[in-house]
Amino acid sequence: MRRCTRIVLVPLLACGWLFLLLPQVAHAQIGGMTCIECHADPLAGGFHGGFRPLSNLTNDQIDVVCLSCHDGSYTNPQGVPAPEAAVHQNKNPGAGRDEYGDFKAGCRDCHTTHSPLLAGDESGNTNLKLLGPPVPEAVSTDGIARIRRPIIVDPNGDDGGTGRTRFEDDFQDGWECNSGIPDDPACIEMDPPDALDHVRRLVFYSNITCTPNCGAGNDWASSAPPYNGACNSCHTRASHHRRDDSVGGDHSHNVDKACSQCHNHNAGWVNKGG
Amino acid sequence: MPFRKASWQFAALAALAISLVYTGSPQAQTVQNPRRIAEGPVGQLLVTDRQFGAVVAVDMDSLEPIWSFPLPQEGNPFGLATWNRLVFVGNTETRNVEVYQIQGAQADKIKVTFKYNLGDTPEGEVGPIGNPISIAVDRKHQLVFVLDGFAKKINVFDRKGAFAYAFEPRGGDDTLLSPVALAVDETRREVLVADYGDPSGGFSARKPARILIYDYDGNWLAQIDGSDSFGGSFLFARVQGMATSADGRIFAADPLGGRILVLDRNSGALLEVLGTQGQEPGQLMLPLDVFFDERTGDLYVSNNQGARRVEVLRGAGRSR
Repeated sequence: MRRCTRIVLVPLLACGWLFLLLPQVAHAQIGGMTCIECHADPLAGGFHGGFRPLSNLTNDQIDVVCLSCHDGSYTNPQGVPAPEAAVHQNKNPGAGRDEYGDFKAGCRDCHTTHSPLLAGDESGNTNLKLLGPPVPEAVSTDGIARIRRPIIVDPNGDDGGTGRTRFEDDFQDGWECNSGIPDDPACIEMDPPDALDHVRRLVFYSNITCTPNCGAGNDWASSAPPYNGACNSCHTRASHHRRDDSVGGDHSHNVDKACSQCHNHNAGWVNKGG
Repeated sequence: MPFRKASWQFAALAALAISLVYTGSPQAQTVQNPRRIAEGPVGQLLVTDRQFGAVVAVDMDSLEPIWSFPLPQEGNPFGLATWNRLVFVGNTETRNVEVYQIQGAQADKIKVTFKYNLGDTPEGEVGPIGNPISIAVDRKHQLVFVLDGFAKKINVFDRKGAFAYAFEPRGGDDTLLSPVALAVDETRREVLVADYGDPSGGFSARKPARILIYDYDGNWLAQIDGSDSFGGSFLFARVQGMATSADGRIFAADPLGGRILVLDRNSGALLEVLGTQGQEPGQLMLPLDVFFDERTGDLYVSNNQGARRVEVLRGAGRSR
């Protein structure tokens, strides 16, 4: 009897904290998934083989975890297909549109898998669409187009009084300005602590349905400062809806449509001609 | 115990075919988002590429793309198989398996013509295959197998594209839960299905990823489980596209592990692990499919992330 108790209690105590997280994990609510689907070591298997925090992985390895289900082939046992997605990147600069050179925005640059995203969020919403790590303002003072590194907020971390914490400092696979210098400090300036209004603070809780100014940071592309839409918070050289009022910003482009109607996520946000 | 098996067999049906026309315009294109891979004209491989909505031909020596053809109507190509000069493309947008004919051999003289949709769907109309994500051809017995990922069903067509029969295992261990890819073993007349299993229901109820093996009539023969419900007895977390060899080996792409698993069909044992995860030439990131060249022992892999190209493991598939 004592042995039985030990057999039951030890694993429960060891893994109990993981089960406590489940009600807040969007994937668990959608697909009945367990932590093991993303956090098990794929070379060793299950929690027997080891728990693998994604923060130890590179951006590309994280993409692999996400895309292994979101590549368009997976439909869960209940018949719900995992939404098809492809990462946002330009692998062949010079072959087509080339504003940003060779870049890649990985899954976690725009998505977070656990919710609520922000400490203190009392909306009660569970962030099922998984969108919304705040992205800092893209500063372009020297005319060099750049994509800013995103700052990922650690919902459980120490924010140092700033409301946000650098959770992952190793987005080395992209998010470098086209100066060609990896981790060029000019490209990764942190916003000053008092510039929080330039940070998209709110997560997207539902489908974004319009392009400019749907309000509260829930749109794809806003047409007025702080330009904190999902797309234009990063883009400084796009033809439309840039994150500032620079030449070519054109905030009148397809104002009645969501960006995703023409730029499909399942094709890496490539323009489908709309 | 990861490997289980059973044994029996049975029969089939038949229906009619079609023929329509669309002409593609082959052009060179990069590979950006490769998915399934199949043998092309001599010295070439074909891959479906999501980003360009195209089928891209790759030179088997240089691995460079040499020509391509886009699907009409901005299609979403996934499943892929070839049969002589016919190319079967699973278009998840139109829910059809579109059949194209290739004429010519040199890149600048290739002509691709749309012939028909499998199963009698008129050109331009939405077809009945919810998510045609994987296709395999048995040249010997002249059958085309199509996995419908939504319906969790295997549709079988004859040489002329007519629907022959379908099977959708339900109930018990042989049920298709989350099938993502299939392959056929012509020698044994078997269909292999890669299935992600069922992650829901808590650890004790979950079913791990596995490879299910059926005969051509849909009777469950065996399965190779990736692990037990708790992740013990571990072989793999997930598997995607597969290839088989005449000597009874299964080559399975492990998307999460960035490697190719070589499994023994008869025992289910893991014989070998090929490749490592990474972005350098020859390394794998999210491999989605594998093509085995019996003549050379080369294994060609559709490498969806990282370098995002076709990789080759030269001679790695030779019998040891």
